[in-house]
Amino acid sequence: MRSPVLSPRQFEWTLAAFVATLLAHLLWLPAWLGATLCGIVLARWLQRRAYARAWPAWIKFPLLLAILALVVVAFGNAGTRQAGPTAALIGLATLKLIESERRRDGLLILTVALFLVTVLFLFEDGLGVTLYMVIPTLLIFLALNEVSAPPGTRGGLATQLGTLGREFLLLLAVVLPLTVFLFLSVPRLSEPLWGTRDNQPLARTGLSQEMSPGSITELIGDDTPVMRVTFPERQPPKNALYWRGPVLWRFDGVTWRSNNFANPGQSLGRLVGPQRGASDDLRYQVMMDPNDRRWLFTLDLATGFPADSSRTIEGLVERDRPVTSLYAFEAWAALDQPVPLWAAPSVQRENGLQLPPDLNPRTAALARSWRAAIGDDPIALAERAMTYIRSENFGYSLSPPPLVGAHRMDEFLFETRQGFCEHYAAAFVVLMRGAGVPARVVTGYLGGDYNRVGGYWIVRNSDAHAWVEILVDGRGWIRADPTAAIAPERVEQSGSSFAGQAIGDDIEWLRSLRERADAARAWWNNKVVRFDNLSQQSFFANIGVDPDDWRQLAGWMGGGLALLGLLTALVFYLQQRREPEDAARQIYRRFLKDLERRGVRAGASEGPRDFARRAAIALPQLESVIQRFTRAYEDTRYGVPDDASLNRLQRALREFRSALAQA
Amino acid sequence: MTVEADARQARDLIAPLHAAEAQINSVVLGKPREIRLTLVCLLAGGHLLLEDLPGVGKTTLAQALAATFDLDFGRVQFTSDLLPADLIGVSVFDPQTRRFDFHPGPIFAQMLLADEINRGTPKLQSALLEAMAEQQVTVDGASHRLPDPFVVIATQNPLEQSGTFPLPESQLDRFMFSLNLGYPDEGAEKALLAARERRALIADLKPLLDGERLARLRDAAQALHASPAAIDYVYALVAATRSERRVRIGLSPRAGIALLRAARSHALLAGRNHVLPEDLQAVFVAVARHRLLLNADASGDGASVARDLLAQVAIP
Repeated sequence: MRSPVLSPRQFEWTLAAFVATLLAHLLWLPAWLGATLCGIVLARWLQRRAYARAWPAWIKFPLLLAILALVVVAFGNAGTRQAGPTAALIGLATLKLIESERRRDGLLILTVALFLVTVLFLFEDGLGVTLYMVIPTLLIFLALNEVSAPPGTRGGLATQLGTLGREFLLLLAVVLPLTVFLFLSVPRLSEPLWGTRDNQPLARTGLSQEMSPGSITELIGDDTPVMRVTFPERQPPKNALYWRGPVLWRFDGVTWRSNNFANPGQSLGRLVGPQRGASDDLRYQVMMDPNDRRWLFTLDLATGFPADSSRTIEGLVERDRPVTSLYAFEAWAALDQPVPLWAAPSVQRENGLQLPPDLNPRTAALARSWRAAIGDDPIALAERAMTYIRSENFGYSLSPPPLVGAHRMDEFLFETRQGFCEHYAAAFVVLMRGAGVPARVVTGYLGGDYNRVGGYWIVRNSDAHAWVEILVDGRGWIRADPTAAIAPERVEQSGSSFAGQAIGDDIEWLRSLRERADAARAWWNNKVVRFDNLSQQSFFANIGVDPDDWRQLAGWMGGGLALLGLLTALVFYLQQRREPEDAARQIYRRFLKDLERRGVRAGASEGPRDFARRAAIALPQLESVIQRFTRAYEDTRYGVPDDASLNRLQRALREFRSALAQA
Repeated sequence: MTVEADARQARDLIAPLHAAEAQINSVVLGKPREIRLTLVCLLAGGHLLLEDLPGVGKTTLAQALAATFDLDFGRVQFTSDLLPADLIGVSVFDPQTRRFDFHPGPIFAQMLLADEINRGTPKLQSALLEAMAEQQVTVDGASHRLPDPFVVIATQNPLEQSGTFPLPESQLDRFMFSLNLGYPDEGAEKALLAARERRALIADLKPLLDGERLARLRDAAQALHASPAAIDYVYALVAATRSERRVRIGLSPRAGIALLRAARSHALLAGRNHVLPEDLQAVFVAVARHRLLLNADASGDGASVARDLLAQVAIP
């Protein structure tokens, strides 16, 4: 027997469920591939509205080849394990849609869509996406329900949801405890076998190992979270939160670059983790978002940091491999302690004085004049530079006039005098070096937003910052932040609110809403995405099960599963006892209830037509609407199946009710 | 084909039925319900059992039906000495052709009135009921097909009367409907007395339908839509008879099938293309009354139990 042809309504349900799934995958699919797929779906929808027919082979096969070619172009060389095959599957499912005419095809598409819902979590694991996935999942089940029944026997969305609501809740009551139990109890590996975010095909934004004009302004507009930080013992002042990132030494007149001090494998002056800070050091916990880089942004001076990471000679804490998935660690800092010269003092000094020759003569002359006037005290020279920046007519601007000439520092210091952290840090270092004081640029993040709901700090890309360290003999590299001299409020506020982008931060409820949303995200990251074998062990310890004793573990698992099995059996037993009611019957019940309020009560064994006759005698002014409704009910429940009859019945109920209200 | 055309065709089909109904009502007075049910039974291809006292119009009804439907009418009075061969026919040796020739009995009629069926011997009864089930008879190893349509209207005296052989339960199931005509009401009876003799009236009846049209009507009736909800109700009614306290043996699946067939015919007569609960209710008592076997100590009869069940069972 051939599978029956999908009615327009069934087809559109299938389409809607598939599109909802596809939309979520657009988050990671290349835009042009996603747009192509959406275009195909749209074309298919419009075509089937016109007439129901599968597309001919001469369209299908070239399309198939084209889609596969697009996937190969997009992912062929990316070396990712899951992105390519998944994109191919999505493409093939989209193509299946264009030849789906029968129930069998619809069921196939919906099954694949359900699989794609699961697969999405290989690419996205945020709270928002997870919550959104409830919609396609629900749509898929509704569509399955619609497709698997003869056309016209299911009502509209509201009726369907009403009919399925009970069933759905029952299933949820079974599945949810089971899911939670398995989530908590199934033994976890310390490293996932698959599905790490290594497959993320998109480049991420963030700090880099270079700084050229504009590289930080780019970040100021980017609200992406970098990490969330909790201080369990004491809250440090906000202006002490300098999160250290790459240190830049080499200047070519335009761009600042890192040195090879911190290169991987460079062991000079390196301290290998795990390290624990001293008892009076500031302890904090970080949940870092993946950024595909190895730096762990820590506070100075990092005295404690996790295993698989080390502190470089520059004071930067680096992980052995990039942070490609949410990463949680604990760290300690000795605040305001300078970064000592752990090793190679002469090399560091020499690198700290490097300047491009023959560039910026006016800056060099200014620095030399200070040196002549003040002497070689680095602190005094730094203060002189600060005073200069403060007293001359400098301004802080996120959109400064561009620097275009060869002598850009001269241009900035003596002409434009408008810039932000990267300009000031760069100019400051050039001045210091010109005056004979070793100096370097440090990039990283400054401050963050305190979330009052979750009690943590969130650091975003928009908090990106650049500051300066100067070398003081006997003490080490001391931090100097020229931006604080020109715009102290930048140090006090978060990057985004300083840039005027955090619209509505003054509106209390909006701000509180944002904080709540981010706290939920943080909770999700901490408790769900990062629930690893360590969290599992502490969970087992809390409930008094020793996970290393297999008998206890087996007892817990067996007992839990048996209990849940019992619950499942009970729920299904209860559900079986009461079949879900027919949509038309439900509407009829409402009609009966309305009439009962008017004192006309139907007997359980009274046929609708008999009852209508009796009701019309009792309420003669409503006779016509009662008869019309009853006819619609008979047609829907007893008549030859018809797609539109249920809608007619709903209309008839509305008509009846409005007549009842007037009567 | 459009819906309107369908509807017009259905109207054309059933219009003569309504004319036939009116014509029979003009001869058998004061029994519109019973006549409606008789027509339903005829349309559903079932046989009818009339359980009543003599003289209330059973024969008149059967004859009026046969005349209206232009059916070839046969009548057999069952007695305790009637033999199956008297009903079915015999093979007689023809000396000229030197062969046995089959001489069909009165059963070879399109409409057979079997009067006082419970006065016949069980052997005779079973010959009749087998013929009803198979629509053929077998004599001396040769099968003879009975005419089509083949409708048996059997009458039965109330069981308490002496000299009767009660019909076996399994054979009662062969009758789709069992009806009780009862005495006409006062007005109908006075009209009966005032009018001409029934026999003359029947002779005047015009044939309004024929066997071929009846066959088409039967096909149309069985093609009517019975929704899952209607089938649920059929099941609920049948299941209720099985769990009812007063009933020893409830309705068989065959009875359920008969119930739905009858309801479809009832819906066709009402000019609908689908079965309503009211259709099932209209025919339920007629289908169930002779099939329900009550416990010895139960009060009432099959009809009253069926009516009680009808009032109790909720329409799903």
